[in-house]
Amino acid sequence: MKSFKLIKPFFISLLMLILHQAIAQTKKVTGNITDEKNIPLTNASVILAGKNIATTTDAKGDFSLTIPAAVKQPALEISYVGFVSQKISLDNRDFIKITLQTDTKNTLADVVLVGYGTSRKKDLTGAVASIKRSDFDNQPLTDVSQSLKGLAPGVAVSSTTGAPGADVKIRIRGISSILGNNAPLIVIDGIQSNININDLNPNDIESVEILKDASATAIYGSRASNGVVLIATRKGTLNGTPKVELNSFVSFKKTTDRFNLLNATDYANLANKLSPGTYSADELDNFSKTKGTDWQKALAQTGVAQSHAVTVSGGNGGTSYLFSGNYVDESGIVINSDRQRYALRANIQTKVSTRLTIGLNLSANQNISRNISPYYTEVWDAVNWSPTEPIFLADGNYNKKDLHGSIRQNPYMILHESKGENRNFLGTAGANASLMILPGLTLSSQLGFNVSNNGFGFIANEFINPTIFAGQGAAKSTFWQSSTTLNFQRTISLDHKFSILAGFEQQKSENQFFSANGSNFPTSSGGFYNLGLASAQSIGSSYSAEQLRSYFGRGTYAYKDRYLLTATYRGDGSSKFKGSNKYSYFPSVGLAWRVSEEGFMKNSKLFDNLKIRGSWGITGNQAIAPYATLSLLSRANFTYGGTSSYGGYSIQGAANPNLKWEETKQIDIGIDAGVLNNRISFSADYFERKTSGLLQAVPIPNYNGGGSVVKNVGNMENKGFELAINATPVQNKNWNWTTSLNFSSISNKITSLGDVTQIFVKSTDDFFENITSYVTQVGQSLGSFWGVKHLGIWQQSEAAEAASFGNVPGDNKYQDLNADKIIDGQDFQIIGNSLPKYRWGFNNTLRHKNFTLNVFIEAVTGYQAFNGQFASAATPSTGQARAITLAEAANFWTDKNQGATYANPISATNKNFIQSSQWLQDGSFLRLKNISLAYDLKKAVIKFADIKVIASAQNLFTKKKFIGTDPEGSVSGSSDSFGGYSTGVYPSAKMYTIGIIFTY
Amino acid sequence: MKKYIFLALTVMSLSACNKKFLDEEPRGRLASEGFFKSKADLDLAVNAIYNKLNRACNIDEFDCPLMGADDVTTKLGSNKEDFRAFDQFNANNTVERLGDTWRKHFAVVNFSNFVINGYTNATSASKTEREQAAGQAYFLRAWAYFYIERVWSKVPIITTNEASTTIGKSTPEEVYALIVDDLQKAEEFLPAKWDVGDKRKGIAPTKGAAKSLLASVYLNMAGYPVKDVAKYALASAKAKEVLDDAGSYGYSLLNNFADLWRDNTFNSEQVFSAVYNNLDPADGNFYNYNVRAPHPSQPEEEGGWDDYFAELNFYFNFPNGPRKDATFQTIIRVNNVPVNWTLGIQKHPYYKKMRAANGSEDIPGINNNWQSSRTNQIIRFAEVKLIYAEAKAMSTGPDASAYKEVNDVRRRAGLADLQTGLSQTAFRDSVVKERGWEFAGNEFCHRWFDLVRLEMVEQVAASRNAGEIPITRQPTKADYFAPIPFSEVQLNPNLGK
Repeated sequence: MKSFKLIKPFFISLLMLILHQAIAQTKKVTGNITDEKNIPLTNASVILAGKNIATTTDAKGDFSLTIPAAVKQPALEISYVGFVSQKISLDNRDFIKITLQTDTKNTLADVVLVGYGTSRKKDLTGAVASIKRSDFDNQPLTDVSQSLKGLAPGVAVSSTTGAPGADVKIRIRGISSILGNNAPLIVIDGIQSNININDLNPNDIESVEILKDASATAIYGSRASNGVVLIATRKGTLNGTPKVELNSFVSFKKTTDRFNLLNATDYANLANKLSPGTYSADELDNFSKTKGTDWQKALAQTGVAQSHAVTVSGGNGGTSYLFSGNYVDESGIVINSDRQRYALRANIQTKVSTRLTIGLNLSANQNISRNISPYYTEVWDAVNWSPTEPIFLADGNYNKKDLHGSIRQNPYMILHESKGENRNFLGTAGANASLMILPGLTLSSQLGFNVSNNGFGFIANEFINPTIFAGQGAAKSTFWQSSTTLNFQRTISLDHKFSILAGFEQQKSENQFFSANGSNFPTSSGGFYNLGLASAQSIGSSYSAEQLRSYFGRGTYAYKDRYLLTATYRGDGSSKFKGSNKYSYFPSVGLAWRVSEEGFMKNSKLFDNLKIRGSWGITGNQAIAPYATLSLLSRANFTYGGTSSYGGYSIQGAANPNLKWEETKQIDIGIDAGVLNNRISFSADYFERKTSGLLQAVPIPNYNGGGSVVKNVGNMENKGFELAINATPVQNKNWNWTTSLNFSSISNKITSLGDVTQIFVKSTDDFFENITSYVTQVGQSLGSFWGVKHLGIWQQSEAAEAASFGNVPGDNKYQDLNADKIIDGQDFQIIGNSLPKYRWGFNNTLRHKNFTLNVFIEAVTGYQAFNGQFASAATPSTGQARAITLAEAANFWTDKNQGATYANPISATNKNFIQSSQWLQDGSFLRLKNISLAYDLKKAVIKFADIKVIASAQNLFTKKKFIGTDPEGSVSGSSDSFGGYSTGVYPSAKMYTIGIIFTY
Repeated sequence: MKKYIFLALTVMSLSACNKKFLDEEPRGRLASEGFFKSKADLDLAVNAIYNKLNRACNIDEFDCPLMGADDVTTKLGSNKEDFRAFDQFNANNTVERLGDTWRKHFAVVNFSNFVINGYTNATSASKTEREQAAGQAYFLRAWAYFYIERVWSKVPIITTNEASTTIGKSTPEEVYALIVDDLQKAEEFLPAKWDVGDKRKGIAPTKGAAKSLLASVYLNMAGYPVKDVAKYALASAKAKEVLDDAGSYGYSLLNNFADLWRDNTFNSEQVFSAVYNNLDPADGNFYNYNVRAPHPSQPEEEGGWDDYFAELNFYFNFPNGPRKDATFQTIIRVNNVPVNWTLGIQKHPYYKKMRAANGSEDIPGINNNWQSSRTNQIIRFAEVKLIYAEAKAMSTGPDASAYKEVNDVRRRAGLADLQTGLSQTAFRDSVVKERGWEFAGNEFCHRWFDLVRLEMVEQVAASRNAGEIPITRQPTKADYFAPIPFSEVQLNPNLGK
């Protein structure tokens, strides 16, 4: 409220200014502006040269301007984005028809989306990466994330797992928050969205803009510290002929990685060596014939995906439309997992009058997935299950139990019998209205609703759970956003341009959850559809809500297109915080100097474009869940030995009423340049992001009940460098080769943690419940692994020293940090880091006549990841594994094999630490992400349609050191404190695709 | 034109003036502040403690720091490193299961504290209702601290729900003082019996359970490290109160030792138990499954985990009789062919009574289900009898009443009465042996605690059978108590001092 009072006078003075401009008139001139094809240009700028008088054209391209009698020899300056500006002398005419020529030379004329508006790229003061439809339409895409990967510097796009439609993790310029989600704010057609972007139909995407520095992002205030992704969906072309686009793809997928495991014979021989009598001679004989079970292979299948999409767009009169539909059916590379997507969209825009435009974007998505979850325990189990165990017993029933290896159930049985289903519906409606109050003054209003209903159901049938356990439920969320902006643009002359934007926004999201479970069913034949059959039943439900109210504004000023200034300000009030912490304010300033527009540079032929940018600003992160400032009880039921659950609640964790926003101050210095007729262009940025008031889950000791309390503790900084080079090395009649290379580096450092120097981060993984795998330490990077340093194996020559540790040759040797001859918690140290330091993207497109070849290589380097699966296969010390299954680990130390790298597993004195550098592996990889070949048949040739045929392969080749699984795969999902923790996720896939696109 | 502008500004001002828009309303959530008002609130908070009790003792993490005893051992290799660490006296502060059992017992303490510090505010509940809630919380806190004290000895005393990362360790005397105080309150507040039809009947502790646990606490206080021998008298007096009123509490020895492990959901020998039901429908409620049986003490050949089995000398010295037959599994089914334990992979007998899960021990072949509904019998009436016998002998000498109680237990085991005329210590040693046999193989009244309180650890370790995995180094007093988990010392360095 207080903020609105401050902003009110601003609105009033803005109105006065506008009204003032509308008075005082003497002579009137009218005109019409079109392009070369005689299509009217709307909103073209018309300026009376040298005077503070200007207007813009309406929908028919018409304008009228009043010219004071005092002006001698009046001339008009006409400009429009993407066209060459003109200056025309009026010569006493009172009507003038002007045709503007398309600007073919200056590619910087591109328009990009910015917060609550658009801008010419050359007018930007901020760091904005822009990905257009044309950048990815040569690749057959089923998921939007594929279009973003590696195309923009400083934007890390990684798939958390290889599951169909899996969540995608997007990080812009590293991470600013320890506790919070570091995912950027996603805004689709002006409406905030928390959608998994892979649920969108990729054919609906027109452009994706990634706002990186504070000058670009600060207008989104408290949600902007992780950057902002603006997605525009496609619209019909006004007065364009109807266009129909059909595309169909079929893909085949296979697992990329496998662990090299022991076969049944070797495994059984090893077991007998370690524990004589485990397998009989008859059994051994049998294994040499049957070869046992390859569990990894048993769980794998070739995934097949098909995608079909139709898009119809066009426009007539003042109305444009686009309708689209998309169907995807995809089976996973793990047995019995698949998903379908049904997506519909209608985008309609219409000019109600010359002043008022309204539009409505509607979309409905239904995503159905079966047996897909990010955490795939069975994939892990497959490396622990004994190869000597059959999938089925002789009587045809499942073999439920591994006697010597894993303690878990038959992973094939679990996956084969699993019946889990997710049906996610997402409906969005975005209405927008834009009213031109006066030329240059526009009032825009947007109202958006997102409704999602994530329904799920599952049954663990008699094979998985003897008592049969089933349930279903739904997470419903509704979100609404209302934004109103007043935008005033004024070109006083070609030398002075300014714009002012003021806005007000409110949003609220509500989440409701309901679930019902039952166990002890007479039969599993009813699936999870008749829970009333269960003799033991339980229900659960919850509700949460959060609200945000914001005021914001932006001013821009450009002098002679050379000196550019952007200033933004936002005030955000959030329901999550209490008292004086409720509101926070986020300013930013950006400056740019287009050196190439200076007289002294214009004569030099060297640079087509040269711009130096600098910006500063503050953004925020409301990284806490609703109600974190309230002390709430958590549930712990009890059944008193029966099957009815009696409610139980008690105190757990702690509340902190003083929580406030995280604040990130960011500075950015950048340079954009183009040479040789823009055949080579590059853009480089250096940035520093300093986050203060870091929200952290500070662990509470287990003697106090464990859990954590969220506090604002400490500061962190990210420094980085980004480079993008685009070049067209070959450009002639038959050949065209464009290449782009982008690179980014980032270094993270914790600069303060308040009263303490380190905070331990517990893994959320069930199997490592007490292990603090990570530490956040002052002076170190976030994501540091915590553990003992493995120095190898004690050798015979070191027997005396080994004995001082209670060890014998053949035991693991660890670094004794405090030299007390005991290896324990006091010897833990930072042993690695999970945050990648460098990312590379190298994209090449080669065109020859009708052929287009695209080769895209991605690399991520400079980090480690914890290979939990590998550890459990090499050393049975993770709880659920009891035997060595990894082929290389069978080569362990004995008297006769002293060069081995693995400790003697049956030494009575050996110790295996899981939190050990032994299980960290270099996560760096280089991947041939995409190679595709497209062939275009033009309508002019075949008189039917434009046809494009595409064949592609994705993830064809990966060079890495990480063993057996994909280093990008992580169970930690969106959390970055637990990055690089590989413990059984849905595996990654190689994919081969063929597709065809028709355009009528 | 103007109407558009005014319309827009009106809409904006209207929405801006909803002053409550940014307020938080945590619908459906319970706040801790001012929580206790009624009996229903007391019930919610007490139910939650049982959830934690069940988690504290439904898996053999509980037994991990007790593996130094001479009745249980484990094997080389596999995933038994945590168990070996204590069996071989080679443990350090990073043993994972040690951290688990620490966390789970302190969870009971913290949930109990919530009730203990708030129950008087539930003014719309009756005095009896308030006291019954508090009585259960005091009992459960004392039960958890009794374990914590005997495993770690010097530990922080936590009696509030405020977190502290500077709190130091208290002495065993201070911790025992809290336990005794809690149990005296529990004894005062708890009913002799829960009413018929009350869901707590047979499950929640009673006055008799509080007295029994207090007797056990006194007995332990008389030994190492507190060594307050005056407590023998208190222990025998408290145990006698239970024995004298056994009828009104409903306690009696079962006639057949084997019946204790068959259909054991409720029986008259149970003084206090943790009850489970693996049909609990609430998703992921691990607390209500009992994973302590069948797998931890089941042979690998039969689908078990081999986490622990019997030490050879202990088995050899165990007196024959129905109790021995019901205690050990000596026939192992290898590929479903029964063979003697000497031909099994581990060449050790197993604890049949500990793998028993409502009859599963009698099912031939491989048992596929981890999760059972077996009741964990935490205090059996037999223990009260043996506490009395030992404490009586050590305070005033082994009189007829002491002989009667130990002989009750021996007769059921198929043994002859104890030789009469034993000296005080010889009688004590006989009772301690009897306790070892009666509660062998990781029952809650664990042999390890007897070995520690009577300072016998070094002595029994020295007579370890050569067929066992070797002890890394001979134990000393330093091995009597486990190190505080390093993850806790990291958060509070004072615990490392």
